[in-house]
Amino acid sequence: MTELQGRTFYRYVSAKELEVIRESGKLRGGKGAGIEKTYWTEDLYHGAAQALDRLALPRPPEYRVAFIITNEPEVLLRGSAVEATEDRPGGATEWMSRQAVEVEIVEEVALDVN
Amino acid sequence: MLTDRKVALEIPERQIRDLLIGREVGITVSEPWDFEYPKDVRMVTGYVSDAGADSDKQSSQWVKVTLDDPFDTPDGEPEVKIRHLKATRRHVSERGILEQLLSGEDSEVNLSYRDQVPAEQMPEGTSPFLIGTIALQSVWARLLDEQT
Repeated sequence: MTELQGRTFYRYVSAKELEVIRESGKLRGGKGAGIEKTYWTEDLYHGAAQALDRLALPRPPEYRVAFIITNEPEVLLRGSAVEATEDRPGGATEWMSRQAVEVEIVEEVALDVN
Repeated sequence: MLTDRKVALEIPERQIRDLLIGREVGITVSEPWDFEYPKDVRMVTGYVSDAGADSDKQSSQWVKVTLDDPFDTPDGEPEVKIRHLKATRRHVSERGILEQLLSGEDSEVNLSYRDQVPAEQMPEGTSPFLIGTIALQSVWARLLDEQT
């Protein structure tokens, strides 16, 4: 069993990206696979503001997508802690791959603003 | 457990600056996920125009990149041409961004353009930065070559 199998992960996304994930079966629609990095987390947040702050995101997410990973992308980060920025406290943990991350969506949750 | 430490750089900061200033770099953008690069390219390019640290903590190290081709701010933000980015380390790590770049690593970074966009004009909750990866151009050449 690989380190990714049997685990539920999360990504906090815009409505637009959620649609792309549904259509493509890939996080970020597989954009830039091979060169751009894709991040996800095991951390569960119930509100957009909490996800924004802890993951130190540039803009508030609209949805929490829970998924299982169905391929075996090379994992380059395994739960690395996010640094604080000037206006985000950080502290969440992130996983990352440079390869396309193929997923099966388990749950989609619209996030509260707070 | 990794923590942000106060460390004396193995190479003096002034020397690191001298080694990095003027070096060509490439930047890929992960967030916003649908970031549009200027022209039909796979990354933003530029050169290191300044570098330093705001304190003796590794996390305070930064690199300023002057871009070859300024790009437009992401959708929804005030329309501004971004001409430079300030890169800081995104994750807690054993090494700061200055050492990572010099050692030939590609570094996960936050890329701020705060000084070029009026904060009061930003959409609520939105902060003027991107999430991406920075590396010296020579490192990108090797990374991309490994994929072929």
